[in-house]
Amino acid sequence: MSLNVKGEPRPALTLLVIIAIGVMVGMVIRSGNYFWLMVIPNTFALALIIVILFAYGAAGSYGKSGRKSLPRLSVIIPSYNSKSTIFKTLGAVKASVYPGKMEVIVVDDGSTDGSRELLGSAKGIRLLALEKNEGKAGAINAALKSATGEVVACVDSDSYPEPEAFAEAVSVLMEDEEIGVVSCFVKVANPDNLLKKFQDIEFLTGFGFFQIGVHFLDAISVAPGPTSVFRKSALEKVGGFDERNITEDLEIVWRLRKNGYRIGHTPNAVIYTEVPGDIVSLLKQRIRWYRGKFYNVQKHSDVLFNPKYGLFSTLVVPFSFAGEFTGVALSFSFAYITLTQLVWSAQYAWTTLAVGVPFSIGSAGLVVSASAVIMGFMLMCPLVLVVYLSYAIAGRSIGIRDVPTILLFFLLYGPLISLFYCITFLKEVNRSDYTWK
Amino acid sequence: MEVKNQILLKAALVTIALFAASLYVGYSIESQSYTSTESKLNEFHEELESALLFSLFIQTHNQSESTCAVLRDQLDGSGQNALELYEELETNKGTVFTKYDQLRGRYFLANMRFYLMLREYTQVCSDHELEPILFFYKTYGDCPSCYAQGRVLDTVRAECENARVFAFPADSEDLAMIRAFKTYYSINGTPSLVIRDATYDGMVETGRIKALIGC
Repeated sequence: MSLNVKGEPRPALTLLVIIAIGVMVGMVIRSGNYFWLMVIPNTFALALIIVILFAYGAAGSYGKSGRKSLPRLSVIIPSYNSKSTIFKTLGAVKASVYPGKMEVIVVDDGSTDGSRELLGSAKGIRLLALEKNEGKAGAINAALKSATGEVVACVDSDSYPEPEAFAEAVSVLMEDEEIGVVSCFVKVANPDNLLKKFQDIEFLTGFGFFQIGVHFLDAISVAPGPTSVFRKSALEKVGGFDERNITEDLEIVWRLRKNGYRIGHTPNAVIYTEVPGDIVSLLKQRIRWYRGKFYNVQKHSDVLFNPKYGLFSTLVVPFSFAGEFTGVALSFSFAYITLTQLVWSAQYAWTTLAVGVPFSIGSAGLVVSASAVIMGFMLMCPLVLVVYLSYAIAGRSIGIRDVPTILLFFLLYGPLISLFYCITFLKEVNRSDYTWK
Repeated sequence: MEVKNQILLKAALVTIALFAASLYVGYSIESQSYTSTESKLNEFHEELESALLFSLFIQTHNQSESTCAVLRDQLDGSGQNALELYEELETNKGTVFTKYDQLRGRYFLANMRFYLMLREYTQVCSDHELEPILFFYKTYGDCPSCYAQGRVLDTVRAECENARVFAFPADSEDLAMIRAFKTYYSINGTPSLVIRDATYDGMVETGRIKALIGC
């Protein structure tokens, strides 16, 4: 799947934007007003966190469904070169405890790693082999035509639903005819390195805590790609997935909303998914997510600040963009401070060596005030509460061994994601094309 | 009121309360620190006033070794206080709510007065052992060599009992006395040192300074 941005790339403009933002950030920092540069956006972030905290409190607990009978379910698994994970996914799907009929359709999306041949001999599935790579959305749309279920579960080929996940999600879907899709609680499958552990915390807070709060406000903006459960008639009504979209899981939710559907959620439908284990893969994934969001905001610009769509359009989406622009500003601030410190330290080292002063690490004198520390603490308190609640939702307690990871999550992962926002922003300015298979 | 609106209202109130509380705590901490520094600066002023009176006393009456020794002790004490004050003012450069610039201005004026008094003391008491060194620097972020020169002077001060260093920001043009000093000593760049009324532009090494002040 490719996102072909209209127009030629604009490297000169991109460079100009980098310089302009760098100069602006530099001016703010040198004027001594960097405190406000940090405080104002962080206060907006704090406001959103507190809204979600109250909404989470009001949402109460999600009881298990206990339904004895559910409608026919079509599980669609698009697969592209996923030899290493697809069979584990199939194993998890087949182990589902579902009180109703269920079919499994695997769409091989032009794989070249030999997985198509292996899938050909797999039992209990219907294999739909596409001649060429159509992308995830195209693969799902192809399967939709032959799906016989009233309900459709789209499962990534590297995601593993818990046995009761489908039953729980479909039960929520059946509660209300207006619900077009149910979002599930996505967790990290195998958090065996630090980067995956960071994503584990991110998923627990994002798909666990935040999704519950946002669901209560009827403002969910994305049905997680690893697994979401759709009403087939709703998908058909809106014309299926957008095949030109690199974040089809986000786009479909916005389109369902525009067509009058509501978005359901249950933390009882748990899905485990593989996540990037290195920085480069994570960067690629996040660039896709964030550029997809930019693209969809342009596509559905009529949604923004439209009271017809409630807090989804007036609070959640604008605030998430504010958060991303804050990330861009923070990245530039960090880059500016780092660069000036590096230049200054090099000059200092050169001077001291020239006159025989014992070398020591110097600092350009960027002094952090007590007020900045207090403000940072102010934001950290609700965030710590969010992490605590997120662990609780997942049925986990925070052990002493988790504390360093959580601290590093705030100190390292936050800035890293800000940097990714920044790169995405510059790619948007540059009109870089994007390809995703 | 609808539940969602209640949530938004409560969240807005909590955010405002948290924001205001943290601003207040930050402001209180900074204010306390400011008041403490201001009080130390006032003490420094009083010490200088006392030293000035002492100096006048010595000038109007015949100086004796014992009175000069007392004055020197007093000046040495003030020198230590001046150094601590300077470090405190530098540490608080990044404050948000308090105007340390005003305190810094007052401090540099007092330090100039201190420098002049020390010069006067060396003449009145014929104590030519003390060697005042004027050090003109630029705001640190822009002048790594000023920072390095500062470290050189720290070494000189540690190794030479007779060295007395007086540091002034050459770019504080709003202080008329700094402008006057710069003009008088022909300070055109940073870092610059003035030792025995001679101006040295650029970095000056430890050994050379020690030789110049006879250490």
